[in-house]
Amino acid sequence: MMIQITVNGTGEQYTSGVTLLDILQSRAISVESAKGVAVAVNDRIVRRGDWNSVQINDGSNIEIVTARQGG
Amino acid sequence: MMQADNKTTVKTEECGDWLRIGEMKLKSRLLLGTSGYPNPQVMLESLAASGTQLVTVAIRRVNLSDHSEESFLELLQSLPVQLLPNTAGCYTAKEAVLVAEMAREALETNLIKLEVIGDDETLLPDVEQLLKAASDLIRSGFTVMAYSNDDPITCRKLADMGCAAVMPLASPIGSGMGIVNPYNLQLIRELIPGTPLIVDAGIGTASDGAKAMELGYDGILLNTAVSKAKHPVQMASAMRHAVMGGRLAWMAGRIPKRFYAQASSSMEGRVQVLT
Repeated sequence: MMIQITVNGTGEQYTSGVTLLDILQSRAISVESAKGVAVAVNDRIVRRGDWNSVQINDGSNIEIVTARQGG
Repeated sequence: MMQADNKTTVKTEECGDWLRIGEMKLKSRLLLGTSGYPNPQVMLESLAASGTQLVTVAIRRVNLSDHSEESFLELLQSLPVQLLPNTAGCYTAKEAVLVAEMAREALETNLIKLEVIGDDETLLPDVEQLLKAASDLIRSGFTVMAYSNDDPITCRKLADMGCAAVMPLASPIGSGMGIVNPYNLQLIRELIPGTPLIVDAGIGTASDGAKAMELGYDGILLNTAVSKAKHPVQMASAMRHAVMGGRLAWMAGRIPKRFYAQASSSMEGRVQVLT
């Protein structure tokens, strides 16, 4: 079964049972390479160490951020 | 031989006049933003010329189709500066708290420049949401540096609740209008003697920065005045000197203003001209 989720504002389809880590790895973000990155699922921070244990449900909203130019 | 009648030495940034915010101890009292420079090289040279040790960054979505932008953070982390993430673009306390938490996770810092704005036209803070966000973040262990209106009562509330620095604006963000209400800024300084105060936003040129320091402020935070100057690196250097000059003048203590002139040279012993 496929589920619909939103990643940084864009709607995407994934297989049911997918973890946050699966989704991040599919976007070339791994725990090791993710220094300077933070992730929130449905407005809650998910710490790097927990990425593997968080299962993503249908309709979830994932935000992946980093530091950019700012004043 | 002339002799100084007062041998008190004035502290300078080179000998112990540090800016302390939370657990930070900074020699430079100039905080600089990283946005809007013509290119990364000019940004790096401007940061170096300014002497800043604390630079602001925004928290934004990772570009999932182009990872080349990740080099921005690597570039900054190679410099002898600390990063001060902001909550720019947040309109509610809820948004600001989430962005602050994401900043803490991404950058491993408790520091946050808290901005909660009321509208797009003025970018002025929404006081109600700002106070709520500040209170929530302090409770969660953040070192909050709060961007505020130049309203003495709001600033005092932010200081009383435990913000590590209170940062009233000189004028709206990016306007370059300088200090539009020096009376309020002076009042804020007098009402809040014990919390670091930083003038944030609206600085247009070096004299604005010097003036803010002469009002007794502990530091200046600016971005556009440098990044959009005709020659950003020169302006960064000008700001560095202005902040140092203003700080020294504040510590030295200016003379009172007089309505009439007062001769510097004594009238005693002047020559008489025969008429």
